[in-house]
Amino acid sequence: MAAYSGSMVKKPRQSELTTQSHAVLRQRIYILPTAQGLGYALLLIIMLLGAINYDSSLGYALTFLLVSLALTSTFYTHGNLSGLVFRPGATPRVFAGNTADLQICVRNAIPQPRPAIVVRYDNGRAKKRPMDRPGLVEADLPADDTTSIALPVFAPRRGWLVVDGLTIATRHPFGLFRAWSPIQLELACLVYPRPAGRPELPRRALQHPNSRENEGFDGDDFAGLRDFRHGDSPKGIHWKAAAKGAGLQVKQFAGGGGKEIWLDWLATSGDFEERISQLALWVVKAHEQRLRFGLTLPSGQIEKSQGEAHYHECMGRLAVWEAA
Amino acid sequence: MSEVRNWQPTKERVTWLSLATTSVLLPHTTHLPIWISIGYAVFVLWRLLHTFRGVPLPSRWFMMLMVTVVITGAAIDYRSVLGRDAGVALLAGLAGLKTLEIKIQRDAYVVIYLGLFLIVTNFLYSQTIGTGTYMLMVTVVYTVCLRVVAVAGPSETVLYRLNSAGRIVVQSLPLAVFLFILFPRLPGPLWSLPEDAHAGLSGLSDTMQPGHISQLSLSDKVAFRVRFDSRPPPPDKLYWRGPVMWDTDGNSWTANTRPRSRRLPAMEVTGTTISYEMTLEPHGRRWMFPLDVPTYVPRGAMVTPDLQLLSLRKITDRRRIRMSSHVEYSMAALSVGDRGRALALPRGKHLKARELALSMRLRNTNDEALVNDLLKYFREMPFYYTLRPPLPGPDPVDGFLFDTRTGFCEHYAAAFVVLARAAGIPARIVTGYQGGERNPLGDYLIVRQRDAHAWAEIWTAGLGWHRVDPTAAVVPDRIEHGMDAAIPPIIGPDLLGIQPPKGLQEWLRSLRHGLDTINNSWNQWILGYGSIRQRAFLAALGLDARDWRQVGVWILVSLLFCISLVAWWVWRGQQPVPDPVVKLYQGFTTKLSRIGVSTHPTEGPLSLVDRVGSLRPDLRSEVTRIAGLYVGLRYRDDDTTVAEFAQAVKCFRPKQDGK
Repeated sequence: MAAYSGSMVKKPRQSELTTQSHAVLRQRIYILPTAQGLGYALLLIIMLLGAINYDSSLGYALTFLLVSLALTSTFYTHGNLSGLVFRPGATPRVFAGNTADLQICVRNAIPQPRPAIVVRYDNGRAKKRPMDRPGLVEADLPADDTTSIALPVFAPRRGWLVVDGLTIATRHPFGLFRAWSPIQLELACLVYPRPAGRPELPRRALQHPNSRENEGFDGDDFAGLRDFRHGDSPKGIHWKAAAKGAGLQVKQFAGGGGKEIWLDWLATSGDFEERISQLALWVVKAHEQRLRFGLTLPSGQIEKSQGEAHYHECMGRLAVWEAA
Repeated sequence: MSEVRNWQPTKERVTWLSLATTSVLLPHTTHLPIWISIGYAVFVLWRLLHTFRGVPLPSRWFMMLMVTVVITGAAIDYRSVLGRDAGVALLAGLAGLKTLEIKIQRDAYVVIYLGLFLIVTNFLYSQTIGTGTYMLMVTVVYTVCLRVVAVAGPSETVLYRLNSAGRIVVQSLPLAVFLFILFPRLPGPLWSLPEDAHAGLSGLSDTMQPGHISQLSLSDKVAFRVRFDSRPPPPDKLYWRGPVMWDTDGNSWTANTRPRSRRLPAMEVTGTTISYEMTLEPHGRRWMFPLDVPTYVPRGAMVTPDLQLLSLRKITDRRRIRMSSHVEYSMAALSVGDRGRALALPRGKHLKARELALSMRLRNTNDEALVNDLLKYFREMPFYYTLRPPLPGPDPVDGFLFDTRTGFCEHYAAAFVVLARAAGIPARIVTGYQGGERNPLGDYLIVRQRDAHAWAEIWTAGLGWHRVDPTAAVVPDRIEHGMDAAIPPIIGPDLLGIQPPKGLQEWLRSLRHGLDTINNSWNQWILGYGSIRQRAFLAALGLDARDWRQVGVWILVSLLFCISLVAWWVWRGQQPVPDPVVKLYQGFTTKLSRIGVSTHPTEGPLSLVDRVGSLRPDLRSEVTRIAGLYVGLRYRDDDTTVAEFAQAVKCFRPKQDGK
């Protein structure tokens, strides 16, 4: 499989992703005039020549004020980036062929807002097709706050999409200068295989379990607590329990049961990626119909179950599975 | 690789750009052709209507047509598109059109850059303190425009925008001042200026027609300022000599400025030399205005045989000149040619005046008695001195002498010279200024355009040329106390028909003097800061302005100084605010460390709780509570307040030994 967008890797170590953050250091910020800045310089040269020629003192004064204004603005441009702290955020899963919104948490610790911060990801591809455009997002960061911004990056294939080598940039305040700084931040997103193939589930595999017909289907019933995992929404955390020293626990809600099904690799046809896409489609369908389903791959099985976590486990397995 | 978030000409952007362009063009409207002003207003209103009301924009063809109309219109109106006025008109029209068609960000930048350039063009017309202040405000508005156009950012109030733009302008001022002082000033223009570069400067001209000087007298503009080295002469001796006129066609008089040389004509001077420094306002011509008879030809100037002092270059910028003069003098003989010129009268003109002169000549054989007779005629006949004389008819001299008898100094001087010549006395007209107003605050003399004057000089054998002022015969106050005494000031409270009390008058006068002192300093130090003044100023600081390397080093040093100042200023505002929760938690860990439980920097609150719990079971519940509150606050649980946490940390007082 050809390497894309940085690199295809095995699942990165979770701990690495969660703890890593990047602060923008003053020394690593670069700054250069923009096209508008060069136009401004040309304007100043013309104005200076005019002031000399007409011997206009106020002409000199205005020219020098504008020179000074541009120089002063570089400090604002530079300061707009300096000291920002970036952390990877919880990124939602995405299907291959779609755009992943990679979440980045940015902490602006100063008592001033920072407008127009651009986060940019150059995937190094020729920019012929729209999907090959660099990932780009511009955000205004409020004073003394942490903001979550979503960087759209096209995810062409299943597997771990790992994005590093990001750049942040800004043209604040006058657009005459652009400051930028590379940020050492690794964003990862698990890209699920693109669901494709026959939409109907394999018939023979449908089984009717003996009981459980009458179990409720809604997933609102409180079903208990489980340990906090990275990626869980903070809303689900049982704070009261945490405050009592019980550790971080997440409230779980159970869904209903129903028919059972095995989704088998052997039931699919076509080449490797097509078969994975077929399985992905079945997983999606089975999940939609709230079936109890299991996944059988040459490398092993995932036992029958249901619910969000089970769905994601199956899709995750399909996303990273490589033929032996 | 556009990084600009989908740029749109939003309402805020269009409004600021329209405001800025309009405010920079406002002072220009006084001299722009009316069709440009109207066209501009239409374009900008159209744009605002489009942005706010959705009125459709004109087509491309209309825009191209309008560009052509503006260019050809300016070319026809000014007969050129290269001059100062035509250039400004063109820029104004294009700025309006460009505002109308703002679509992408680049258009907005073009509008801003055009506007910034239009600020400078304003300075070609006026560089007063008022203009300077107004344009500084316009610059702040343009700074807002740059900010609004460059990046989107959150929407802000007008006040916030002006405030932050004002702050950055103020932060830019120190460096601008240093550059203003240190940047090497080059003397003279780099290339020849267009014809109209200095149009509109007022002053005396080389021809004198009835009504010209009275026109000037309506102007309160300063002609020059004079600082005497010692006591100034009395007001009736303050005749500032300008164009000297010999030749007339019966209507207008013309000055001849040739031949000129660096050498003064032969003459004998007596009495003390009066030395003074004159600061001449630009008037676009060559005349300097020495007091009476110059006895020294300044550098860059020449003198004619009739004692006109002329600058080598036209006086187009304010100039300081050292001069010296005498008020008592006598001259050598008059050449035959000059005598002929000083007696010539146009054929067939001024017949009644000639008749009058001949009758006087018959009564007096003595020249001196004749001149007295002439002056007596002016004094005793009902002559009136006025700024707005009626039209004198086909022969201005005869009409004035026998008909209207109402005129200004130029009428008196012309009539007197005609009479003298007709009576056989060589005579000529001298124009210039008379008197001046002493400014007690700055201790200098202000001579304004309203002090413009014309008088006569006659030749007497043995004495040479000497001055006769017929106006003095009619209104002696004019000479002794200045224009204000002869004719009430043009702009003043009495225009309303109210005579202000004496105290108020005095107060107004001193206010005017105070303002002029400020103006004078502005002129000397800001506007007059050219290559010569810069050299002198830098020399006073111990710098040689001609040594570019030295100046370069100083510019660098001041650059570094100002940059660190600004850097400090900007970075000071960017110090992170300490998070109160983090601070409290630090206080909590400090308390723990005092009882021997030190915290690792990477240790989270929950593992700390475990550790404390095993080391000091007695503190377990309290520490657990605090850690729980901390975790809750950090992860935005709504149930916990900072106050609750602060209280818990405050009450936490672990003892050294729990047992």
